[in-house]
Amino acid sequence: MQGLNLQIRQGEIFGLLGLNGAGKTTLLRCLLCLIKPNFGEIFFKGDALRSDDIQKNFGFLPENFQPYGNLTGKEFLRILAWGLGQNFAKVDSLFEQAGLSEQKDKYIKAYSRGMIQRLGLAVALLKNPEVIILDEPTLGLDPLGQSQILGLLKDLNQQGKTVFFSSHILSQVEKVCWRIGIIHCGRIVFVGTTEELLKKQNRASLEEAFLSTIKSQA
Amino acid sequence: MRKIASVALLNFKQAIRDRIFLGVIFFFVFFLAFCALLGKLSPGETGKVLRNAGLAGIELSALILVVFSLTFSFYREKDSRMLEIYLSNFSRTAYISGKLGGYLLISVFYLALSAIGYILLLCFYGAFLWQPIIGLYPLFLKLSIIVGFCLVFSCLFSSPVIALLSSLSLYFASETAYPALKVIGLEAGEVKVFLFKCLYYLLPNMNKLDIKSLAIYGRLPELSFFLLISLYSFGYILFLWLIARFIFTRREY
Repeated sequence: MQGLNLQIRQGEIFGLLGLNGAGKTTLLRCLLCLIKPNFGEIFFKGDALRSDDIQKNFGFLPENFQPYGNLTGKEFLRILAWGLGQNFAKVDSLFEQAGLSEQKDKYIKAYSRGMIQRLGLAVALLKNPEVIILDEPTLGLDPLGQSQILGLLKDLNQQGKTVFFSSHILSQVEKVCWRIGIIHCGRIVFVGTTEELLKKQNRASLEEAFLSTIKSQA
Repeated sequence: MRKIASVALLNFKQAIRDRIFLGVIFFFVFFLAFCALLGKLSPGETGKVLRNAGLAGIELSALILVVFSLTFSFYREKDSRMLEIYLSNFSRTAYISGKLGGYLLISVFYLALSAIGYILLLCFYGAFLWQPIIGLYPLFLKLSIIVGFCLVFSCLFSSPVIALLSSLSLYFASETAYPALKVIGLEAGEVKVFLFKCLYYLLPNMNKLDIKSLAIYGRLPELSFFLLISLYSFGYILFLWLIARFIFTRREY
């Protein structure tokens, strides 16, 4: 990544779009202090971002998340909640929010892909974080699973959470995001609303506008 | 502390329900049956053979369990993105400490479980002595050191196979370092002996942690010996934890 300048506003849903290998996951990993940028800085509420901020204020759902299969959903979430100083009532409410109340006593290895994603989202919400970062949250899900996850993201946003997620499924981004950013070859090539992108590229659909933005950078 | 305990408990629960754990239990049961056969083939020495082979079986199966289970779980967590979940919630130090704690807990649990099988076998053949059961404590210390080495190698290498082979090689090197030093002392020159002595002191002194040969005859070293080996082992584990932490906090995932 290089020459990257991006600002996420408090309380918005921001979608990061890009082709495979564009640098979406790398950017998210930098945001989570999992990798250190060679130069440049990341700020959170005006101060340089530290791993303490991540542990207190950020919830994260990675792409292709696969939790311990030999634990039940309830065990997994309860042990994590206990470690994070949260009470078990919170765990039950998260299961309800994620629509997993009936499956919480099943072993995670028996969960479907959609259920695992929803469990991952519950993990991301355990600390009641201000910022939720999701890497391709709907990847591999059927249309029902996708719509459930997107519905959850909207609900979270209504609760005042800032949601930042990466995807290459344009229709989903169009449905839920306030603003979008397009990343290509490690550079941010567009930041704004979908309407602004359509107007800028003079196109009727987001897909055409996205491809046109990418091609203009090639 | 809660964060460390949380990582430890998650690792413990996942590992004791894993196929590796169940496989090792199976292996141990077969080994006990083999011990019983060996005992029958050694008339007059049945009790001693049962006690000795049983302890050796516990050591071998526990070694396989901790080395395979820890190494594979470490890399599986990277592949399954569990590591990212941990690191977005807990500090890297808490993760490494939790991993170490979890696998020490697994060692204790497995030793307790295998001790039950061992005691039952000895009682069945009328060969029970309580001293070999005390002999499981130095075995736990040995396993703890190996857990520490597995952690260091898993943090250091990006391939689980290399980490696994390094851990096993180190175990066998430290087990054979003392007799090798004796042999080299007889034949080699001063420089070679000095170099080998340096290596010997760097490796964990597993030879001193082995009291099998006394315990099977119903004898035990003095209490001060147990205090000394406990101090030595915990010091060594602390040293390994520091190395693992140093590597892990500097790596990018």
